[in-house]
Amino acid sequence: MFGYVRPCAEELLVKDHEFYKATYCGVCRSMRAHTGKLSAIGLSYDSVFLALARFCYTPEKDFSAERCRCIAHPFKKRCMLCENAALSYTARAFAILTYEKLLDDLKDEPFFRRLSRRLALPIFRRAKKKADLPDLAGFIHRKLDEIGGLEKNKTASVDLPANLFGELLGEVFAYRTEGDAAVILRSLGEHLGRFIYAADAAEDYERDRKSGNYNPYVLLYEGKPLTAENKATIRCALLLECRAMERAVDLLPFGGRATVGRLMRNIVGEGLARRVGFLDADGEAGSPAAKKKSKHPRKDHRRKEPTP
Amino acid sequence: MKQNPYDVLGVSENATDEEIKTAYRTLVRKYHPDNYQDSDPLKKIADEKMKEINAAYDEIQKMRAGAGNYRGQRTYYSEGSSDPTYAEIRRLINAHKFGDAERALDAVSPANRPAEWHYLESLVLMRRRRVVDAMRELEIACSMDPQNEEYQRAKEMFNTQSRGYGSTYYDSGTTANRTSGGDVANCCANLICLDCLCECMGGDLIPCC
Repeated sequence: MFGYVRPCAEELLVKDHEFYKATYCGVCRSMRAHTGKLSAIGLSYDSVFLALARFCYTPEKDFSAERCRCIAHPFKKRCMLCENAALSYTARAFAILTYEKLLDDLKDEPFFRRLSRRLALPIFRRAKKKADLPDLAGFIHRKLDEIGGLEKNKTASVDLPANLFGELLGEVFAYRTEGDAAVILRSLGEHLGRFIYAADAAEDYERDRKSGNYNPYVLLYEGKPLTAENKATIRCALLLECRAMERAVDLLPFGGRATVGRLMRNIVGEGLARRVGFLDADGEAGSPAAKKKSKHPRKDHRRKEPTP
Repeated sequence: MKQNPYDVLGVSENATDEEIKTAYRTLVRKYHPDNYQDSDPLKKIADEKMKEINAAYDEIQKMRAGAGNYRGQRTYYSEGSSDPTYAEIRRLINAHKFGDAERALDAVSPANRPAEWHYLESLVLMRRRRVVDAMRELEIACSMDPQNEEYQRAKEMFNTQSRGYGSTYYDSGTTANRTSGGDVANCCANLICLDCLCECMGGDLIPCC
């Protein structure tokens, strides 16, 4: 949901990158098929990572691809993965996630701010209904409420809300899987959730420091500009989460899906590490990406993503 | 489900012992129990994986030890023979005297060439880098004496060494299907090209465009 989980494209093999793009298109297609045509505006790179993780437990015979046009790319045919269980689950889970997140973002806002988001709300409300996973929707709603409660109380710990967000993503990754699959996917989701929450807070530090929005790191470091030492601490914690994800990815049964394995290792090993580059010793306090982000601080996590 | 031990280690079947050892060590480092905290639910799965890797490594070691020198580069060393003529030729081959071996083989009259002759001929041809001829001779040897383990093993060796090339480029399982649906488009594109060509020459293949 935050556009964090992206591969480091220049390190990828061309065929792997093609597969990644085909998966991206596949998720988009599944969204249009399952949760309504307009819900595809919520498409993000993060959803591709979920799809890749679920691919490891999808029979290899269920993979096929075709070249076709779509509304976003009417002139050039693109290679797209055909529908399978993993893609349709990803589409439905992300519809719910997007809706709940939008709802949460808009809860305490005056009506006329963030109007475009308010307009998008009905699209995703419908998408959530069409996704038809009420237990998952309930779980996500509860977790986001709990996180909201912590934010309201101005909790000065990043771990508490990050853990809750981790539990949320853990459930999304492991939903309706059993045995080893559930353990590995849940662990992967939990660490990813923790990473995303903490990285997001760190990235918004400067802005939240000035605007006074809730940010656990601002409370922790008492609103002073981050020293190199602080940055190193935050960075170390984030990279530990990456390492934990790497361990989970190593245990996934890739079998003949070596491409999926290489993509996931790239995302976890290089893609995520690159996203926390703004915490490097010589990096600026706000990353270039953070500066380009929209004017709404802290809550505006979704950026328009270039189609790959 | 019994997995091929080579797949477990992620190496090809004709990898050298050194490559296998390296792959094994990398995997052990990756899944070592020390990497996982006791509270980590992944620990149990990693332990399983570790056992699998150890078993695969042991199995490969055992297989390679049992196979003796038939693997690796010294593959066409030959074994003993009952016939003194062929025993002599085998001795020549083992001593790398391929010219002498070839002459001795040529000396055998074409009407009187048993399976063993074809086998030894194939070994000599192999040395002369005439791989296709060598394979043909080996085929003849195998078809004349299908029970002979030595010939079968040599044939197996050819197959193993050629296996694996090319296959890695199609591992995603999707590549093969990628062009489906493209055939019709290709056909149309070809027609349009043809039409353009005809128009250049003053004719017209598709009258409407």
